[in-house]
Amino acid sequence: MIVVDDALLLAILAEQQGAAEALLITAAEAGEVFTTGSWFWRLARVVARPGQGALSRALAASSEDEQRRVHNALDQLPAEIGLLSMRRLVPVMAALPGQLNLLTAEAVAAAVVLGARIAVSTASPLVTTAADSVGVSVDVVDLGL
Amino acid sequence: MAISTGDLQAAAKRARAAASEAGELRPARIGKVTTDIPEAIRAAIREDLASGAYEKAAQDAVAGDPELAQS
Repeated sequence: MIVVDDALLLAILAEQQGAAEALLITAAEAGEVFTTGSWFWRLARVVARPGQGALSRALAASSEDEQRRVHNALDQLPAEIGLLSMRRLVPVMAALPGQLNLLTAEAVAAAVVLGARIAVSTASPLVTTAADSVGVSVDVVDLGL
Repeated sequence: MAISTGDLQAAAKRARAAASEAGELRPARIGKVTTDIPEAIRAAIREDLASGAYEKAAQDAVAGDPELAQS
């Protein structure tokens, strides 16, 4: 099992075609990929906020129908991506050592419950330190697109 | 009060059992993830992920919210 961050989730949802993405997509097809509410929420906030990137420019240049298709695709987490509820995770989050923020505690607790590793797109000392303290592995996945 | 590893193991065991009973230890559906994203948008997403623009946008989107900080 793998718990992925918002960028890797986006790569899966957009069916990106690099080698790392292919491995994640294969894992998702096998029912091995989970994310967290916090990472899903981060992705939703990026999509909802007009920004400076290529995605914002492409969306602005798209028809209303295309914009609706994109928002539908990114707003509704596919059933093939797992997501554990806070009902399950909060007691585990509360038992984690240290003072952790919500994103970190949820990710590490999900990995503990699932017996999973965590995969992130950029190095995250917050997540890595907390994960190390309870024996959870963190992989930094290079999105070599 | 300090949290012990035993407390964490016990909490994880209870959570795993409850999630298993509810069928939540696997995604609700197994199979290929497909979305209806137009190719031009996929290309833009590819560009943002590769250039770091997505990460910058994510940091901007959660700025001022330490609960969602990742780095």
